[in-house]
Amino acid sequence: MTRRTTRILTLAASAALSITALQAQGRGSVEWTTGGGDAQRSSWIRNDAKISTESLQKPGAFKFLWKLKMANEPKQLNALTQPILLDRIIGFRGFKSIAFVGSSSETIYAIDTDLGTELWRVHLNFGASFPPIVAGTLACPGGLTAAVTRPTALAIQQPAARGAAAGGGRGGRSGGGVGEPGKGATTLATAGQGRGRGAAPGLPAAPGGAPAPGSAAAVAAAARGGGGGGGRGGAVGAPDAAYVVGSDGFVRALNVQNGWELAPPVQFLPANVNAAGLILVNDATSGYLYTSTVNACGSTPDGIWAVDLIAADKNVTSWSANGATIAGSAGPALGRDGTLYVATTDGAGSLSNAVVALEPKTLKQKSVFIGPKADFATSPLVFDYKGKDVIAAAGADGRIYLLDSASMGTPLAVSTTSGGQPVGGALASWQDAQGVRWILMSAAGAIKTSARPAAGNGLVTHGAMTAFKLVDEGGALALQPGWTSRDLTSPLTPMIVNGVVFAASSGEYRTGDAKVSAAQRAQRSTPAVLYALDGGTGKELWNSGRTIGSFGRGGLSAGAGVVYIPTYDGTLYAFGVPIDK
Amino acid sequence: MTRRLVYAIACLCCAGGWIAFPSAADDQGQASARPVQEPGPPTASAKKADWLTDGSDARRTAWQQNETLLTTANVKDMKLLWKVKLEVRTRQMHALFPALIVGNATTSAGPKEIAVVAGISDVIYALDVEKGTILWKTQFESTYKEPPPVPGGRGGSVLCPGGLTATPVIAPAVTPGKYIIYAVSWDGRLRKLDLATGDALEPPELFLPPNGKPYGLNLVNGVLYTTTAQGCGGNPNNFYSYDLATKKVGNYNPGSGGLWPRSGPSVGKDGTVYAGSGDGDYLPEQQIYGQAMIGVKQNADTKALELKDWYAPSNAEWMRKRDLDFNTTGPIFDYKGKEYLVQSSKECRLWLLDTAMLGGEDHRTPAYRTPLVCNEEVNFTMGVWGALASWQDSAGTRWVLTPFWGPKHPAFKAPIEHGPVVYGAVAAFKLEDRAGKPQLAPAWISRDMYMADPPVVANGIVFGYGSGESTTQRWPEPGHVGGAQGRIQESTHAVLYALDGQTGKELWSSGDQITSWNHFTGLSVANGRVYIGTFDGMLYCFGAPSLPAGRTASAAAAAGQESGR
Repeated sequence: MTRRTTRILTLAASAALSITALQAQGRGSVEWTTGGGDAQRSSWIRNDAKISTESLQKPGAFKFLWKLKMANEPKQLNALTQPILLDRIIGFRGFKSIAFVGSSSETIYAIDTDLGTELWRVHLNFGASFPPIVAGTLACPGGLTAAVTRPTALAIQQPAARGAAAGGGRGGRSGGGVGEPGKGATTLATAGQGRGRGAAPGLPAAPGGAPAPGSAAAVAAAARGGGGGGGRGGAVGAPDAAYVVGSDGFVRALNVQNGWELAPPVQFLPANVNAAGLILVNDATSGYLYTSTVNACGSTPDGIWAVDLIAADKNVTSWSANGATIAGSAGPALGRDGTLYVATTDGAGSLSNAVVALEPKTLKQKSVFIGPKADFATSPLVFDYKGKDVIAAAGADGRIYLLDSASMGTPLAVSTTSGGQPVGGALASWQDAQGVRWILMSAAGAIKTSARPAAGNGLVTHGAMTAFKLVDEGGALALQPGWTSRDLTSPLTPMIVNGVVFAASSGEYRTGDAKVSAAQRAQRSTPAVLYALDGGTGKELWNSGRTIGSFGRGGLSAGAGVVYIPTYDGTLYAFGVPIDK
Repeated sequence: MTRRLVYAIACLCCAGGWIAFPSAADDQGQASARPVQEPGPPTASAKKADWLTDGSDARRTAWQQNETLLTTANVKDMKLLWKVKLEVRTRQMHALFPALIVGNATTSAGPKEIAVVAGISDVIYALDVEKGTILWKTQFESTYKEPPPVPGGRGGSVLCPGGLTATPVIAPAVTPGKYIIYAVSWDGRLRKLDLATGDALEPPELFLPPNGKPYGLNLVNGVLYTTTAQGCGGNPNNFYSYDLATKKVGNYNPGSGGLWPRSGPSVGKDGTVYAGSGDGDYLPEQQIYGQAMIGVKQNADTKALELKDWYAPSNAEWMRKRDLDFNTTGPIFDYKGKEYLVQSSKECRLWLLDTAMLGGEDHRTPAYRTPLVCNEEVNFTMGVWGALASWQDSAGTRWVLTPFWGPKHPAFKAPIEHGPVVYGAVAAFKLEDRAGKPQLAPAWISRDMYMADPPVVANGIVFGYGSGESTTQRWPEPGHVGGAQGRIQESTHAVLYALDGQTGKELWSSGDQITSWNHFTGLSVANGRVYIGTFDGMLYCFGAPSLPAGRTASAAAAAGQESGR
């Protein structure tokens, strides 16, 4: 390959990633493109046209939509991964909204979420020289472990108001005019000014219109050969990619339309690790893929991994936790400046009980917070508070730590215990209409009423969701107990859509007895139930009843008025506000 | 007042209503729908039929009501009378537009039946249909300079091919036997040509933004109508009117996607102009009317186009999500004292709309909605693309015909079917009253046709065709070339079919006689002849067995007979 060819391909890939990022983040509501929904792992959908506390209370408005069973052989308790979403992409078979779901047996499924039907599936052939794990453990199950990811923006942008000019000749509000006699239409005055397709040379591309000449998008389009159109944001149907890492450690970029590999696989991780929180963050010149590896699986110490998929050499960078164990299930959380944050459990390593900040490209340690006996049990999440990035992570005792990204040495605040042990491996956070910042934590086990931090919603014998509010007490931040939910069995990490908290009573049987096998745990588990709770009070608004037939694994995701929950038996369930078809 | 101006005004007066609406009797089908089984040879004094506008008439019924030579009995012997290769430079997948026919035009060489065919490369041909020879050719000089191609941009794509995109319209002039051709060239200017000579009757007039992709022109009561789509040339999508008397141009933009009825907008009896607003949000509270059937009407005083009414399907959100928008020209007809419009879309169902109130009080209630006819896959490259047709038989039954692409929906059944439908077909419905309400009852489904395109009706015969086009909106991918080039490679050839209008039974087909395919064009029929153009620039004329074969000629061979411009 010549240098020129390499450069063109690199530019094209860069532009394609830019397009997909725009597509992922730029059209109305934000899409669920990575574990935890976004780079900050907030699990918060800020805008949704259909889901609200009001709509959830209308009888029959929110309901079971469909379920789809995928052929999968669970690895220990792992089955399906959290669905990653792509809303409305044009392809040669029309417009589709797609959920990408990985399975522990290393098949990737693309599902038409409007119809609940399979679009394509791709099995990842194990390409490492090491043999794959045949019989794993709960900690190191083998198989595919990390959810698929799509390009994800570092910072969530405010969605455009509906009805704004959207390209393709769509021009906002209706209206007309009359030209002077013999002078033609009034539209002659603005002819060719980019409100439609085929922007005039020298003009910036219209939203949803053609890429401006010489722009990165145009380069990408040229590399693809042009033709067609009407895609998401880009006018040329840019091939989006579903990025996935198999147990062989190779990252593959799959064409979202058909699952075909867009480029040769890149060796990213050692084989047989337990990867979590795969995320691809890109800007104009780079496209960094990150993940964490946990539980020292595959004889690989816990760490964070990075590779620039735009770079020609595809050199992999890693950071080792130095003998500590990385906590949580969501992988690294990213600040708006690209800094990665990772939390660790209690242990003998020098970086145990810590939240560590890493530089975006080098993964060099920037700063660290070490809290004696903090024993973090969740991945960090990042949120904006008065212009600064604040990091939150929960300890095994149920206390939530808040750290200032600019000065991590001393916590901004530490909450009281939630009364239960964190489960699900991640927190969630959202901000309500009054500007109140909430942090949600799933907890397992019975929570005595007297031990609850706040008013509850009934007896808690198996577990619950606990909500804290961020308050300013005399100039100091504090986490004030908000509410505790109804009883939930081993709840999954919650998710917030437009002020509605979705909590899943996963039904998973949990025990500290290591002798109880995965099969026995599965047998003792009960079907999951999805709940919608009022974000301000925790009051139950809706539940899925007995619709779900197995216990929940993998994690919730949501988009375009639909909430998804995968289960251990390989079934994906969709609940939402149905569209009149 | 100059002679030219007097002439122009006189032309306008004449053009005002002649092509717009057939007589009420014709429209009801009482006078002309009875198939004539064994007609005698045409006589010089017999009134000859015309096809002056895309879709036959202003209401876009695609129904030739004055056909007598072709019958259900003799169409089995239909033959290729001639074919002529026209020099048209293709753009993307476009080549020729449907032929317009003047049955009896006065020329310096005596009365002639003339076909007028527009080509995408800003060219118009006139042909002597009896001989199959070219009478003249006009190549428009354009003020539009095509910008350099933008890699991957839509300036040069199947959706925005550039060039002349609207089928012209013809109207009789004040002098009997004289006709005016109205066309919009690539530069958006309005052209008026003398049918007999191709001469420009007036200098080009400013009309539309250049490169705006207008659709088939309609002319009613001295006003030209068209719509534009796909935001081509960087222009918004609009209804447009050109008032011939005042030269005022009105426009109305529903705030939607493209307005892209294949044969141009339909016009109702009261002058309301109908077209579907394309893919876009339906937010009426914000005066945004995407995904709807829009009716606009010219204000008689100001000449502005004003919104009169609209209908948005109850599943507009679904249609928007899956890009299943209105994309057809729908016929308008009278039925039991009311005027109805029938429309369809890529979703592949039909809506029957009462033009007195398109969607009821809430703008979302049609007079009737059929189940899905096809497109179980919910694929926007399937469904109905093009135009519907409507006719009334001698028994007074009102028929509605729709072409569709792709397999028939498994849940859709018709009393008469003609084998599995894989690639497309024509479906026929009868308009019936049930419980006091009109309903479109399935009647028959034709044989399989490869990408069935808009049918036309003449004397009880339904002429349909499979375009042979690869309709897949393909992107480049391993093993496939993208865009127009890829689709051209994958296209086959068109086949014209004659079907019994009552049963859909195949009476005749062109078999392999047509060697190329076509895209976004259509059929026309008049005086025993059926016309179809193909991507290679060939215009085919098939005709009744009683008609003499014309001369099969290439444009080059016919060059001596044309007066090129």
